[in-house]
Amino acid sequence: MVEESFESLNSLTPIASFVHICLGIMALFLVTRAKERMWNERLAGYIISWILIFLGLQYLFVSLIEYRVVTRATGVYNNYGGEIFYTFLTYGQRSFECGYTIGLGILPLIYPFPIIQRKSVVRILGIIVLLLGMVMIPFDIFTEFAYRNVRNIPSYLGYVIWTPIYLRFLFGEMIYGETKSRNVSSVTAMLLLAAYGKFYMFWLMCLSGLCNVFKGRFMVEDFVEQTKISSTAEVAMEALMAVTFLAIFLGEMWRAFRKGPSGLTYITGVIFLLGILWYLLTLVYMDNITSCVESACELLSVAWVNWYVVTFQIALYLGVPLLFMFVMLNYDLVDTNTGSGSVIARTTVLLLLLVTSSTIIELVQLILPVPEMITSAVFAGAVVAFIGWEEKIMNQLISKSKNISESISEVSPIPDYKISEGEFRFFSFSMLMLGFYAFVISYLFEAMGIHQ
Amino acid sequence: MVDGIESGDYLERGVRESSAELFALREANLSMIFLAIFTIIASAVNIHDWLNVEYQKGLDAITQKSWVIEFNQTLTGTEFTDVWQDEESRIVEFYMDDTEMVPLEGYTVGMVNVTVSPDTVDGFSVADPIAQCDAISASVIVNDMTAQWESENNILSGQDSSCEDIQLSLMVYPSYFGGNLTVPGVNEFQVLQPWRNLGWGEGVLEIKVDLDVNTAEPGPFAADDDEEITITVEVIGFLANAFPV
Repeated sequence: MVEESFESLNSLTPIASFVHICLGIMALFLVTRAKERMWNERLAGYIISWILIFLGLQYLFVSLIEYRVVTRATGVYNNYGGEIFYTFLTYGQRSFECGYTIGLGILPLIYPFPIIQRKSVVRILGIIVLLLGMVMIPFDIFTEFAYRNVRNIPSYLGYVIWTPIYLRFLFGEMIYGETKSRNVSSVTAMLLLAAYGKFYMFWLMCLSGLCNVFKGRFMVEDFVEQTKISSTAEVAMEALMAVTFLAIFLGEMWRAFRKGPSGLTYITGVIFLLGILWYLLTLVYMDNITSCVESACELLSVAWVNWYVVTFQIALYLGVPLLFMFVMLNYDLVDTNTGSGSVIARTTVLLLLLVTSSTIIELVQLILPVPEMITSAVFAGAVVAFIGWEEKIMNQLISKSKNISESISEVSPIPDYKISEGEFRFFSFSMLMLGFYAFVISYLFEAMGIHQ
Repeated sequence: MVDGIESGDYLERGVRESSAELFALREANLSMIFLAIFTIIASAVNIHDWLNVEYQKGLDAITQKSWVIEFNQTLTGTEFTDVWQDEESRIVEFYMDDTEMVPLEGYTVGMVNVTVSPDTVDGFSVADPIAQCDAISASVIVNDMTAQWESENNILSGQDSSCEDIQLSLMVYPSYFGGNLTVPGVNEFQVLQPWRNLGWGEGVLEIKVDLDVNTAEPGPFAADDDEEITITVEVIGFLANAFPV
């Protein structure tokens, strides 16, 4: 097992893996039934479902690594040193990360505002998925993950596409009175938060260049350090990330000032404050963080690690599935009204709520010495409350669900392609093949001992 | 389908055409331009900082270099003199935390040299002019004192019957032999780290001295049944400095 001081680190991965895979499969089922939705919404539903599945599989590998690993590098990055680096587990983890990157790379192209408006879009994206996967996964393993941030570039496409969409529809609502534009700007902000919210809490550090001290540390403690081009790409992406967050934050504050606060106002406000706290915390622990480059690596402080877990890892392991599922349910990407779709949707919501509360309680217990009796009672209370309120929560999600295609069509009509079921199946099959390929190639590369 | 348009005009649109609507609002475009410029400036500043400062530091921290380690040495110590009776065996204790023994501030105990000296020279003394040299044996007793007790360079025991000094030596600090060293390392801190451990040279140094008096017999002056013995303890302290080659 890992260092005692890092006990809380990655403790959420097993449950996160379970939640992501379950939600992904349920969402896939729901989206398959949603035949009446616009083509880009259906495709977005498929992509988000597969993103969740790939993330779940990635966390499954992280959980197995956490179980196997005896020593950990001094940092918090998933860097376990030579004992596990060149094994199927690390290859698998990284390969499914590639799958997630690819999924996240193609999602902004079609949702909420379809940049690609061609009848063959589903086929095109299916082929892109396969081609990217064929190149990206072996490239990542062959280069010992030293080009991680170059490989991640497709996943940053959301910054470039979603931010203009957000601004366009925000200004449309605020200045030109396009009432339905709010639906588009809110779903875009939600998607940005789902995809990058975990990084947004470092906005001030990254904007001020303080993130660079961590990269310096990782250079020393990474088993294979990032190449110059990879780390430089990361610096550029961090600036882009910080600026896109500021765009959403300022946009939401402007909107709150004019039209009153919304859920997004609170979420972005909390992230804004977290960014300031992270900045201050980094200054406080600067000697500890820079120890690797200034002297010799010291373990990161336990307080720092715990703060990292309750902010970043909660956002990563719980925030991401919650936000993606919220987008799917609240913006009507899936069929939640009819037959078994309704049952599955209710199960999904309950699963989300219960797993979230139990995980947070577990985490609190790990960090604070709260007696188990108290946490059990809190959990039981949460279960009762959720069961009692489940119908209301569900009804609110469904009844207040917004139709994005309709909102966009108000300013720019979306072509209504009649895309056959076969094409969607082909796309889903491409994603399945990508996952299968990631698994097989990871296994084969270890068996071949390519890094021996 | 919600407001979908099936007109032939909209069936296929290129990326530029389809994204034109995104850039239809002047105010939104201005904010995008502002954000783009801000991003470029922030990126440029941070990349400059990364490549010229933090990356260089990181690179320096992972690049192995050769270092010469020099040891500044200091000498502290004490002396104990007493008379041993014939066939007497005695253990003399020297406390390493005595002010006379403790090295200067910042210095670490590297090794301890012990000299055991009889007071006679070539067996002759004023009191006993025909006396022979006495047989003295001395040893450093292995105990809880923190030192390199297993070191091959230790001289933990010696004996003499020719009125010579007995030299004993105990290595205290791991791998310390007094001379300069050349070692690989990534930075000064890490190179010097092995030489900054605390806790070595703590405890009690116990020297056991046995005396066996040799006297010429018979004779009018054969009254030699003791020996004055002096034990000198020298504590060699060191302070390591590293210089890149």
